[in-house]
Amino acid sequence: MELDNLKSLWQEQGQPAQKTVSATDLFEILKKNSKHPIAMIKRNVLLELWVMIISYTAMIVYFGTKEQGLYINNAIFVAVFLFAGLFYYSRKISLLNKMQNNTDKIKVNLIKHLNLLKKYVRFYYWFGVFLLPLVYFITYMMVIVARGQKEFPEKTMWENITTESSLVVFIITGVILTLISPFINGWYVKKLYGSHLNKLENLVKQVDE
Amino acid sequence: MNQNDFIALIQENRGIIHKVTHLYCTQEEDKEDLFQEIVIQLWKSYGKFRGDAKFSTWMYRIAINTAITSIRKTSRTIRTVSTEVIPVEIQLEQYDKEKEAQLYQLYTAIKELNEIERSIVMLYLDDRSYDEMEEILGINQNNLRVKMNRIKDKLRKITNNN
Repeated sequence: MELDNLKSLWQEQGQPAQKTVSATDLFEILKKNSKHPIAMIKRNVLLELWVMIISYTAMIVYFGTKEQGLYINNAIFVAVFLFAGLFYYSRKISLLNKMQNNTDKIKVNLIKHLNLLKKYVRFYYWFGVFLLPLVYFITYMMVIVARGQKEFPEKTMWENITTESSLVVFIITGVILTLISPFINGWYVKKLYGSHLNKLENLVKQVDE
Repeated sequence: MNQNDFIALIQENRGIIHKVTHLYCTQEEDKEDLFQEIVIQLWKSYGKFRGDAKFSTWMYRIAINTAITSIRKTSRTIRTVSTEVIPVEIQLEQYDKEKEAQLYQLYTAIKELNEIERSIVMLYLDDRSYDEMEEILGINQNNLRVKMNRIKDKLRKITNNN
């Protein structure tokens, strides 16, 4: 088979014999959501962001107003989480927005896409590595501070924490969690983005070889 | 952004999208999904089209970028598929048996190539100049010529083995 001899045969297929698509069908397509992996990731991230904003705001209001502000410390903890979450999601969305550009030349686009996805995955990984022990630590603090305030209101917050009987178990579990957190996150991030990363790396290799 | 103008341009250049979908998908359902995805991506980027490149060049870029960055199973098992390899409309009209067989052979062989090679061979068969191919793919012309020679050899080997 000689490629040059098949050029005319090939080109004929792009002529009127090609399937027609009506304007109505095209208008319908434009109303649909993209099924591109990046668009789907972005939709999930936006959903997570809204769930976080609504649930955390509700918790802040609940803790802030319960029993005349007795649990205000908990409300502050949740507010810190909310701000950290807002930073986390805004960074992710900004990287995803950059990844959605596809008007560049194929090679440029692939390299850009790959680098942005690597950045996204690194960010996801490191944020997760720190977040898991941090959430564990703060949730525990919230529980013992709240309990201490109710049962021993005469004690300070620090006294309630240091006299807590489960403190040693908490510290040991926290250390274990901190140590295994990189592995859990590594596995999870790879499960989510590993195949897309491999696919992009393979495409960049194809362009370069 | 005028949606009617955009639709008219898509209808005028729909052959490009069809070729890309035929090259990167085997199943009819996948082709339809990819067709829709390419149209959506073109529409999203239409506002950025400044006319500094030809519309068809711009369209090739987005269509190929969309096809290769969407996760899809590659059609390595194409040998077992018979009629689906060739676009339906070609099987029905205009072509004699010999041409149909040649076209079948061509599509089958192209689908054995990797994603980037498929896009190169598509542009080559569409008679795009090396200038335009460079403009679409971002691969310099010398490198493209080397790749093209390699692809021709590969296609010859594939068809001889089949």
